Amino acid sequence: MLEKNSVQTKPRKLQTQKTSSLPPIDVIVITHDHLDLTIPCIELLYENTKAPFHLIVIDDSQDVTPEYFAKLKKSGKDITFYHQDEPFKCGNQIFNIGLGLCKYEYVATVMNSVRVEPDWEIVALQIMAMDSKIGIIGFKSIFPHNGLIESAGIDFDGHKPIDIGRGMPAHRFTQVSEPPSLQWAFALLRKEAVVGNLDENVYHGFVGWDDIDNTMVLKKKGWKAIYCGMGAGYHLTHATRGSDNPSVLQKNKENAEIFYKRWGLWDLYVQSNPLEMIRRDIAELKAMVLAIKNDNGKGKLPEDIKLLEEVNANKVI
Amino acid sequence: METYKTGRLTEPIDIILPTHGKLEELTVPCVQALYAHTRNLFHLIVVDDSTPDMNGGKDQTPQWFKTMQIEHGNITYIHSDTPFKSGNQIFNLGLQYGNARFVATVMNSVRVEPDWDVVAVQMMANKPKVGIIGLKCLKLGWDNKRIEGDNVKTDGLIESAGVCMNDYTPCDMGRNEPSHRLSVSYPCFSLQWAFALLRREAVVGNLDEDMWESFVGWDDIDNTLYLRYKGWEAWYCGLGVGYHLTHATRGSTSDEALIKNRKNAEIFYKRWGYWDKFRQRNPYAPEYFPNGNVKFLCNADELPLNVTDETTNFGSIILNKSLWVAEENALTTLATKVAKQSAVLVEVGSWFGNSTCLLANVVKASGGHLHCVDHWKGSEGTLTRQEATEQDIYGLFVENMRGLGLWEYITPMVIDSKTACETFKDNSIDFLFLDGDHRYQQFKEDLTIWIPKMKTGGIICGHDCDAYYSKVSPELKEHLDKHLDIDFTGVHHAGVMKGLFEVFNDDYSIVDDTRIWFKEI
Repeated sequence: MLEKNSVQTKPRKLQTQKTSSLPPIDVIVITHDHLDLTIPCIELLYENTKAPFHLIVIDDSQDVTPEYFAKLKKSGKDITFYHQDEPFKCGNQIFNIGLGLCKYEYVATVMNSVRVEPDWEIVALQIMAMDSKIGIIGFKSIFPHNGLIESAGIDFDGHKPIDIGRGMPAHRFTQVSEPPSLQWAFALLRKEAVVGNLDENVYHGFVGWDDIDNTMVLKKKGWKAIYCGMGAGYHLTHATRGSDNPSVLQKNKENAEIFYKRWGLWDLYVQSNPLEMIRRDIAELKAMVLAIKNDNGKGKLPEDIKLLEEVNANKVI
Repeated sequence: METYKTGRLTEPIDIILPTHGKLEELTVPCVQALYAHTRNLFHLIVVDDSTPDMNGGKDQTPQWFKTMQIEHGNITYIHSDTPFKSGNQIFNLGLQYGNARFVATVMNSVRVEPDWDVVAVQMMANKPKVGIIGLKCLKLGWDNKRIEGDNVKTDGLIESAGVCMNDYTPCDMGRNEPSHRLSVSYPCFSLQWAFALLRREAVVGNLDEDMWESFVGWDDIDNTLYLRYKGWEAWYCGLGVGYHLTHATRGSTSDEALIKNRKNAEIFYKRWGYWDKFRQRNPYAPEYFPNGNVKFLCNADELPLNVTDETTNFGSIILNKSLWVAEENALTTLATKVAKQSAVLVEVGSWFGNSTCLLANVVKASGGHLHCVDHWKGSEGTLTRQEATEQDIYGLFVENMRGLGLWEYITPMVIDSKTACETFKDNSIDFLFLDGDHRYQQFKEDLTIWIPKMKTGGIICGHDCDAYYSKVSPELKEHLDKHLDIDFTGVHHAGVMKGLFEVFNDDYSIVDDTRIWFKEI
């Protein structure tokens, strides 16, 4: 080790750029029409980000989004625009494409429904540099309509994932913590941690659960998932692809079941939802009856169906 | 990065709580919030001058605190029938009744938020020169006072995140920004005392009770400046928050209060060197103390803020200074080893002059001359190229070196590395610091052409060698090899690592806990 010397060399006040101590990052922005969301998202990224960044846009829009980014790219900004006409099937497909286009080791995921706040990335980058085991850092998401917290990480209430801090004033949860899971709408990833770990075929796309699962996968692989409340952004939830039509709700339910079963939460779910289980049994039995009837009565009615008929007769359900 | 742990008790603090009537409206919610949200053990010192005629003759402040004393056992209640004459009298009285090292001032118009004390107390414990820390105040009660037709709600937005000077007018920083912003810390020009943490040692004996008109402003801003004048630092900490009903306790908008406020302003301007500016802008404003009986202390704008690159923007919470300190020491030590009269030192890649000033100071102390090689255009294919198109980097370099009084010890060479290298004879350089183009081809070429110029016994060194290339995992090596043509992957400087390996094999050293590599020739 070198000896210390007595030369006084500390500069009094050097003029430097703020960016000089920050590593460059990739920022993956996901777009799907809604240029009304995309433009403020991009403008605020350029206004409020201190770290130099390479913008990667993954787009399947049918509107004029490609023209907007073509124009932006002409201004000399470091942008990679990836477009496909065929709609993406899920978030992980998008992330995997984006990761393949990254130049650097840290990658931010920013949905176009997010509007980053000043200096959102700075503390997270410092934390990433402090601990090479951190795979993902989630930021504070704030509802734009009321300024209250949307998510400060995710915890589990029994089997059920809940957003930490939901509905609390936005100045709270300004700390660094290690919650059970995180959203991916607005996060910072270590590329090394995620490449090869984002499965595109487990969940229905764009109906929830896949991002929470991704975080759990990273944790299972030994990476740390950190929440950093000193980076914040406004998040217009479900604005990009959100829908509440019945088929979406059904897919969301199916994703939930996959999630619970993958992470050992299914029994807890069953215990907490006895009526739901009976409804499911009845639906299954009805399907069986229908199948047998459609089979021209060749099959025998199982005992379960007799029970179902009794239950129906007693109007228990 | 300095880290602070929530849920960790440090040491008990005193909390001085001034009260003046308004028990139900202000004091009760204030005390309830203190008990609900304070993490450190505390001793509550209530300094009260409520009288029974307040609250329509129904004030119960003494009785209520008597009950609270029995219930909590950590309250000292001080009562005066005579109204207090100033905030500083209240603070001085409160200070007499406590003995903790750190003392919070919490007006009864403040409602503290969860964990308000955690970071501030640890900051003060870690930074022995800090005399006062101001906490983030959020607006409360403003929406009730809106005039008809004004639909803009401001409750919950920032009221004050420290105080700065705009010409001669003190201004609250962060005013009306969303509450989650400015959740950092920084040294501050001045601070409000409605919600702050003081170091007992800094304030005892320094709070003048007789200088100011009572309870009409300016005294707290002056107190902070006075502490700075005495050599203490004043910091804002945005990781402690409270709602503040401004002017709720003793505020008044009467003409009499306004005149008192102007008198206090004049005292402040005269003490801190703003009076001439004020008179220039307000030639017809009355002067209340024309006979020179307000003593000038100093120009407050010249008081040192102890602002560094790290603290200016993000404060101690964020930036990691430790690495750079270790690198500073390493670089200076290496240069000092060979610096002597007539020694030739060369730096390739000077940019703003951060490392230049270290090396130039070595030359200043030990002799020799430093040649600074840089075209100041940034490296092709890197982000520095864009930076150079946006501002005059060479101009900043010159300004920095002149400002630091180091210009005479250096010679800038505004040319590329290869051309500069050709101007030096072989075996002529005592010390070379290589921090130019980090891309593999460019770095390796630089290294190769400069080595013959080194004297035997000289030191060649450089920046940004994150690890020995030969010792990283095969996976990381594969990753590095894919990124040899960029400056920095975000974690590694692949070009520097591989270039060093190919030129020196493993026959060079990386200084512990730094990215400084070196080799004695």
